[in-house]
Amino acid sequence: MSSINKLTNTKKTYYRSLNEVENTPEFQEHAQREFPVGASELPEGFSRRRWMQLMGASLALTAAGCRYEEEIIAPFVKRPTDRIPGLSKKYASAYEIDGVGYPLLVTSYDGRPIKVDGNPDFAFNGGGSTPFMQACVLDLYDPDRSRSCWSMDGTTPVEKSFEDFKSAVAGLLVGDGKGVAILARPSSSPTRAALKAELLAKYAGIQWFEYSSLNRDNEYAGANAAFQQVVRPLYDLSKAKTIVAIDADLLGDHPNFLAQAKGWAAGRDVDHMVCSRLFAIESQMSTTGISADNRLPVKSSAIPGLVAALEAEVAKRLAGDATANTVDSALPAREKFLAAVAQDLVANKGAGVVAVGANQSAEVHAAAHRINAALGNIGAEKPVSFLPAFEYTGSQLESISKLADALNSGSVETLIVLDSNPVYDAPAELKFADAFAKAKNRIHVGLYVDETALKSTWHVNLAHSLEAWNDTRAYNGTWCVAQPLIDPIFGAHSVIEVLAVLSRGEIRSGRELVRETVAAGNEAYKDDEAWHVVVHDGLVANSQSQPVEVSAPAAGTLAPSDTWKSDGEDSTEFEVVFTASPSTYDGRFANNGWLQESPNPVTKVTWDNAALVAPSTAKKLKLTQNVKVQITVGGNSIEVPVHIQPGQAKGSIGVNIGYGRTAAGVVGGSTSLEADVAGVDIAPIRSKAGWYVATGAELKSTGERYELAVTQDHHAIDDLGLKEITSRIPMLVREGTFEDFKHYVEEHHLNPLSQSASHDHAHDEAAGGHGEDKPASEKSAENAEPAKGKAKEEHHSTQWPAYHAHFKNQSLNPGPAFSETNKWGMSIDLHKCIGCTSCSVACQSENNIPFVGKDQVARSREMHWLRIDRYYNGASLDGFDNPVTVLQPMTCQQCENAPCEQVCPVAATVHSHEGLNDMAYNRCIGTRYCANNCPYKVRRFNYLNFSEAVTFIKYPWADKLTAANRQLRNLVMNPDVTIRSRGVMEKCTYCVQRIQNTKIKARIENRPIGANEIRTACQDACPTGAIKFGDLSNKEAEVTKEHDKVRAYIVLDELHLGQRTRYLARVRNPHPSLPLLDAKSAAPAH
Amino acid sequence: MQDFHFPAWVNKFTLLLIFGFLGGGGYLAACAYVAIHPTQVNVGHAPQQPVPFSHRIHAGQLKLDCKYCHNTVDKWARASVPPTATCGNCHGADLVKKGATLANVHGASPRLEPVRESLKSNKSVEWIRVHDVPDFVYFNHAAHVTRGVSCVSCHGRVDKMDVVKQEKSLSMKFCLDCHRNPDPHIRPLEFVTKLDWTPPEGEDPAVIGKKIREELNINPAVNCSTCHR
Repeated sequence: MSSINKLTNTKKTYYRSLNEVENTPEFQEHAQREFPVGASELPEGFSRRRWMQLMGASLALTAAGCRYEEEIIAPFVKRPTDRIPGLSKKYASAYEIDGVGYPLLVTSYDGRPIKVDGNPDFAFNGGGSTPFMQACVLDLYDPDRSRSCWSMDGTTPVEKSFEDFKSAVAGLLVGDGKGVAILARPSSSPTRAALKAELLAKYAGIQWFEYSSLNRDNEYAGANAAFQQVVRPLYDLSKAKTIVAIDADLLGDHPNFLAQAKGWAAGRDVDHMVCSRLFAIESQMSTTGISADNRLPVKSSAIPGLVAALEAEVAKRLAGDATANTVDSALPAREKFLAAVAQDLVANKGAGVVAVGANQSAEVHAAAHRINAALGNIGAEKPVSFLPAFEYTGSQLESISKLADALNSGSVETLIVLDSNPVYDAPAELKFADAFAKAKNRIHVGLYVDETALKSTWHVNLAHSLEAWNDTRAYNGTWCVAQPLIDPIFGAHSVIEVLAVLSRGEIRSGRELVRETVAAGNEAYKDDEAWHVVVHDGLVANSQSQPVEVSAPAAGTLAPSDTWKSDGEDSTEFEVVFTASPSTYDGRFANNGWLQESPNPVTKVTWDNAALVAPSTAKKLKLTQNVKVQITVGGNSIEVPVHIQPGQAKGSIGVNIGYGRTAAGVVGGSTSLEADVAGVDIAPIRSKAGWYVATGAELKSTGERYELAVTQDHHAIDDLGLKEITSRIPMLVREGTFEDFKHYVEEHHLNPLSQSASHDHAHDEAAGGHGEDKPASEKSAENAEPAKGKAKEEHHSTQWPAYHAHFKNQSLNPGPAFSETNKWGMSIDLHKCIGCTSCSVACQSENNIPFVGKDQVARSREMHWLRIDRYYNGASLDGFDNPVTVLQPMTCQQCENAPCEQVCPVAATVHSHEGLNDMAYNRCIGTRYCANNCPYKVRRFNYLNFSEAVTFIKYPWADKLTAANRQLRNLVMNPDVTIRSRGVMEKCTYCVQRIQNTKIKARIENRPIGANEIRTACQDACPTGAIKFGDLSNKEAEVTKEHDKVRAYIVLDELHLGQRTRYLARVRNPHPSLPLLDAKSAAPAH
Repeated sequence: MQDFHFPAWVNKFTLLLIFGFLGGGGYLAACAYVAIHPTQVNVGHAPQQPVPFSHRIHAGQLKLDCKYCHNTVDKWARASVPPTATCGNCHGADLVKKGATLANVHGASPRLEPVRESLKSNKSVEWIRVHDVPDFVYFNHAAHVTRGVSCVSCHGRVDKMDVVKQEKSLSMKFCLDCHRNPDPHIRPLEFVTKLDWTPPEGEDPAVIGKKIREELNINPAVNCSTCHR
């Protein structure tokens, strides 16, 4: 940490990671070597964890000589109407996570779902998606899924049928069902609610429990305390001018993430001079904190005191004279921050949001409601409103405790676990596994034979969401009807079908069950046609709930405390904050390779959870990266590797839950399959009292090293070496303040929406207004050739932030000529990017990108075509402990004059006349020269046969996975994209398959391609609309308009490569009393 | 020190070596040509099908239009082998469709047994693919037949074949030859499935093709991504 001090004193110093700042040997290795050590070696030994990259199919040269394998064509006997073999179709469906439905649009190719997106007809969310939505299709084809029902006969499972299950439960459900308990996950499904009511009406003795380890108990208790009713808050961030996120990851793990991200972006339309202000007060560095305009790291345990102080401050300012509403610049930094927050909230009365995260207590939530009410922020047309909490059935932590008590008291003879895994995720102090064993009949219904199933006497395999009829409610209450995309692969059944067996004693199809409830809700849907519309749309029209009228919040006070005023530096006691994993959620996605390998948006760690500690905490405890620490809470301890995370609150340790699964499968870890377990289970130190925030923790280094697979230093863009990096980064990721932007635009009379128009205008001004007489054609001709003679007139650039001065020299190589139409281009707005990684997972799904396993990621062999670079800027409040962070999605820029093409010895990568940098995989011989010569480091090489493509090389361990399993896994592949084999280079192609298919479609229909008709996978997935794609020659295309904006710039413009991707500079809107970046910081370092 | 010289008797091997290298190289090249060249490997492929369906009788003698069976050829990428139900329209074996009994041509023929079996059991007839381009080649039938490229250009005179045989190499060169010089291969759209169409007396197909190409704005691309994605 010696060099930390060096950096804190210098302003506008960007860095990618602490390794870089310290210039550790690890970083040097990453930066200097194109390919890290051992990059071309085969892995030694076999570990099931890495089965996916080790699969090698055997292709014997067929007996028929050298012809391709003889293929069978098996046409339909009767082809369904409108079915065109080989043409993908899209269907609406829905996916539910803990009571919140996410409407989906699923692409199906010849009857198998291959790609999932958000349903764009659901305007509330927009068409964006979360990484979980994107990745759920991979779970569908997971070979580790449970394949049959079974019951234990002694110690051996015996395969059973669903009929057997029906007769088994008929024997158990006798009388009023006393002695039977059911544990389920929270759900907002109206059909499930109806069946549950039916079941409980029939069997009054059945006890029903609901539990998810990521519950929002506190939020509901807080609403109940304030309004005497349980409601869920709905934040419309597009209406807000001031947003205060207090330990609330509004743009991250919040259940309403999609709508909030969309609203947040809408409220920050800087090109029309609108920009809200987001304050983040949090203990963990989150994507919300990265997106914030001002961020304050505060220990979670100190936040109640801070909220109490905020409430008092707001009340004081509201009561006082509005003109005196200023911020005293003499205040200490943290108090000044709070004063600024209060000042901004009061200045924007009725247009503010104070949001508190689920990890804060009910009292803090109630206080936030009081602040919002006092400021007049609550109301149907205001940024904060309330909706009914559909899935709420009481406190879930209490529910699971009651269940454990009931089990221990012996009053539960039969426990039916519906799609839950309490043995893994129930609070450790309940010793749930032991309590569970006390029930005589333990029936588990689930997707996998997980930890709970292994301790059950009966198991029913559950149908995946894409295999079954279901319904759910979206966050705003819209009733979503989910149709299956495929018949259950393993003949499984859904939760509602299981419930129908329990309540009615009969096997009913999910379709009938869902239709019954929909028709019960509205008679009109008894009509076939109306029902078909519902299924087609995936939504029941106009079914969103109306905002709940809430009374004025009950009076109350939070106990004041001053702990927040200190930065936590001198505390000897640590707090541990448990957060949802962006990869595994609560552990349920542990066996999903796309998610496991998707780098954490903040830490960039893959395949593991880590103890996140602030740099100064690490310094104090003499911890270094990748050392295992022992965290002890209340006498229990776990050992986790340390990841030093700038921006972490001092004295606060963050750990992701959802790791350490011992029965997840070959990807997430399984002891019975001898697969490495991903991450560490935090259960021992997570008690009910400290469910989200445990205080009084001790931290001790074990000295043992544990390598985390972190992608942050991989593929470093460092064209002039380490010394140049810090001065270069501001040119790669351009940002500045809103104030500066406004000033710049006004000073130079620019039109923020158009560089070219601004250019004309600016020139006219310079020439004394004579320019107006010139014909338009002449003007544009001048613009095309700005170099000669006019250089003097061009006293300023039309770009903001202006870096132009550096790069006046023109390219010597004019590059090839391109088609004047179909000039494909992309724009990425850094101002809207929140780093959620949906784009990256969507790209993986669309383009058949393999996941490679932890060992390979550690060797920089990850295959993501689209990565999200993260840069810290130390010039902020207090340096490393609160850096300003900026994110940059980085993918192939489709250079017109591409360096990669010039070095390919076999012309495997050449240009198309439409400007795409084409990659002919079947021609690539794997010299890797192109990756060496790529300034953006976006080319990926298949070191091993990561995807199970046909290859002549058969690995000795290829037989470990049966052929049938490999075929199953292959069903997720997109047939429109070639599967790459070992030794082949690959990269982003702007989703060329989508371009070509749309072109062909338009040609067949004899019409031009629509201006915004072609959308790339990343663009579809982006919840904030940061990515645009289209034809740059079409003035109507969104991308053309984006490229023309004053904020648009090209990364590494000085190389004159004719890059087709432009980025839009990020604009921050810090509070005037809390300067984040000084005005000049937008300028390059000289 | 004395320089080393090859002894004179080595000279008689020189010619042998030269011819050996040339001949050996030639032999290897010839082997490779026979073993892997598309014109050698692909042309003439005529597998035995489960039903001895004769295109000569159906398309040639009976003059059924290609699109009667291959009805998705102008819709999307695949021409599609027809569903068995299409066979059943004429060889329906007393099946009833929409109230009318279907025709039962050659109802007792043992050769049609797989068709009748498929209609009864609802299991596909397993045809064997004849024209097979590699999986990394994305060919779209509709993009071609809706732009005046006839079936005959790639499949030959199928209406004269009892057993379908691959006539063209379908190699990359074959595709590129046409993409680079499309005019002679483009015909009026109404004659796309008329395999025996010849241009009117005295007219050059290239001239006709050029005219259509200009009318329909057909500019075949030769980018990698045109076929490889």
